[in-house]
Amino acid sequence: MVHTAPLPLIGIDGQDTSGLDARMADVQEFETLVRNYQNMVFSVAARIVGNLVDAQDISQEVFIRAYDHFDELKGSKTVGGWLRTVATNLAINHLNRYRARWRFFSEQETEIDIPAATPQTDDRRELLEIAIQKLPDAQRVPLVLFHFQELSYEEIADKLGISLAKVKTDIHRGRESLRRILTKTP
Amino acid sequence: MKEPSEDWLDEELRRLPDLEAPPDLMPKVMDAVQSRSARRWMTAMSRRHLPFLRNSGLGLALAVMVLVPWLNPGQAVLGFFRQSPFFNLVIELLSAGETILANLRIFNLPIGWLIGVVIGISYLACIFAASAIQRLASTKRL
Repeated sequence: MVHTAPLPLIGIDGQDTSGLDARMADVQEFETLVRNYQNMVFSVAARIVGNLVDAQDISQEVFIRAYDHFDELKGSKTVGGWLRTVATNLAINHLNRYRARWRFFSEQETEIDIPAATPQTDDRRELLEIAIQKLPDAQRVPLVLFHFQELSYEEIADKLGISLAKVKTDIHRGRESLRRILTKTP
Repeated sequence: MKEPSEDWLDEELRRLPDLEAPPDLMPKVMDAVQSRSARRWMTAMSRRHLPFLRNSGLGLALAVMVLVPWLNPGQAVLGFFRQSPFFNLVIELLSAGETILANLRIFNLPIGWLIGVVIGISYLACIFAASAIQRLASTKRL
């Protein structure tokens, strides 16, 4: 969706408006960036926090930070990586606010309740997406960082502040849960 | 369902496309950006024109230093107050008060004598107070 609200003009008649044009161009360029990367940023946040509402707030925060650094990001080839990293870190920080809950879940052997195949969840990819979101935090986060962010076990352990063995166990458990769900589904 | 191979899950995860961002994400982001845009632009402009702004400020300060004695703004302010009806009313009230006090002859008393009497009475009061305290203290000790 294109945001077409006019910018408030600063200055008086006859003033050189090249600065304003530059500002307008800046905002439009940023809008293109948001359009190009919004799905990626939202996916990173949603898969880590497992909650679409929180993911939207996190995505918004990521883009606001990107705008604050837009001078450096403009024209940079690493903008996608920058956005991915910031989204990952903000999503993990969001979960860390509930660290106690995280620990609690990490000790649980939970049976994941995935809805049966319905017309809405017929699509296998959609089912996999839901299954990822339903995984306990302690399994989902390392799994997402490993498979979608392509981080190594060591990097994940470092980022989450947990042991290497726990990272491996949690990813294995998460994969087993996903495999079980998908093989059950015809 | 056909038994999947060992790495079929990796394949499924790899092929999983990005989720679609909610339609209201972009307007929300752009609203926040619009409000920050003006501030960011002002900061960039002030940074770019910092030497000009600094020199202008210095020039203005020098101009003020020259113009203040020449234009005498203090005189202008006083003139403004003199013409003000409120200020005139206050002056009238003060002069009426002065007249009343003068008619009471309070200012006709010799001021030197008055000050001398007040100092003398205060001195005597201090001496009496000190001797009374000393007496009370010695009585308690006994």
